[in-house]
Amino acid sequence: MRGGAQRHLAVAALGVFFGFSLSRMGFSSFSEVHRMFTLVDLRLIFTFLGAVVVTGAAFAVVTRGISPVHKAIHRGSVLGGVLFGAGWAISGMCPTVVLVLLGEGRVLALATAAGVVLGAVLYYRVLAPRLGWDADSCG
Amino acid sequence: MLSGYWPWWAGAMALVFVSLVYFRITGRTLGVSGFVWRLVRWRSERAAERADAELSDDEEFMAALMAATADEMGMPQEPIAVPAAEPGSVELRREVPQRVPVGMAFTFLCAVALGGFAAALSTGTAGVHTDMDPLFHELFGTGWTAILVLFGAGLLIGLGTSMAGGCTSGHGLSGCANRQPGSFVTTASFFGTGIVVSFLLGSFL
Repeated sequence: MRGGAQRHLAVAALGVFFGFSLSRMGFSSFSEVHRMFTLVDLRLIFTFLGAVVVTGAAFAVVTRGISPVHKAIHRGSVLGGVLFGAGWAISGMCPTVVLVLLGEGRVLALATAAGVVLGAVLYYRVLAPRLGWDADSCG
Repeated sequence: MLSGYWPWWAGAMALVFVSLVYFRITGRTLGVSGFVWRLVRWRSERAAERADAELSDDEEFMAALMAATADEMGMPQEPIAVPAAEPGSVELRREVPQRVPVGMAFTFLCAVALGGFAAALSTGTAGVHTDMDPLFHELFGTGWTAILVLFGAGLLIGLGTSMAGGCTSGHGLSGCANRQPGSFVTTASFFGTGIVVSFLLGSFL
């Protein structure tokens, strides 16, 4: 993909909006995430569901008339999800939220950030070569 | 208004906006966790980008964008006509999907942090905090214990998202919106586990 200053700037602006929104909707709050996961407060679940449904509808319009080729379920899909979910419940953070918290000035999030980087390195450098799984990353 | 969290529909609309605009700008669906490893491998990513730099004119860019779109949507990829070496002729190529350049990924992540800062400014909570949420400390203590827990959780997040090939944005939002079976499975896994672990943690309160 071409770079271009305009595209870069647009991505930057969008990133700021994304981080701002995540914070203002409470996604970077451990308490709020805990309330979501313990089903005490369904607000964030509806936030997420609403986003998936509407985005899904928009993408369906974009791909209208084209039959999709489904990507295969990864060998690491379930275990990876379990590990991630556990880490998320314990820290209250998903990868993006680590960054949001750093922006909010929560310096302890640096510990989580270090863990995330090391975890990725551990997977790609140590585990994946031994497991021989297809690690198809996003982004 | 600024002190309370956004109602569900406002948060949902914001996430929809981010998803669609991100796709519009980059031709890719949003997925943050993949950026982590790519940034670790910054040098080899940049080298690969320089090697790909022969895509220079608009037609080739559009072809690559269409191919990337098709790949992200899980659509079957038709060969795409791109200008060939000889002027006036075209060749059919299956383009390798073009990822977001690693420099742009870095910008995006920095911008997200900046967004967090802006949010903190808007609620008057900007500044350095050496503590986390009170509930977190209630569960996990303070000092080095808390730091170790945060680091360990980070390990789980890094390992897990790499293994699953995505996170809340990549699988949860984008993957599910595109009705990818792998994303439904992973999203169910991490949400289900988040719920179970949180209930477990809650029992210690």
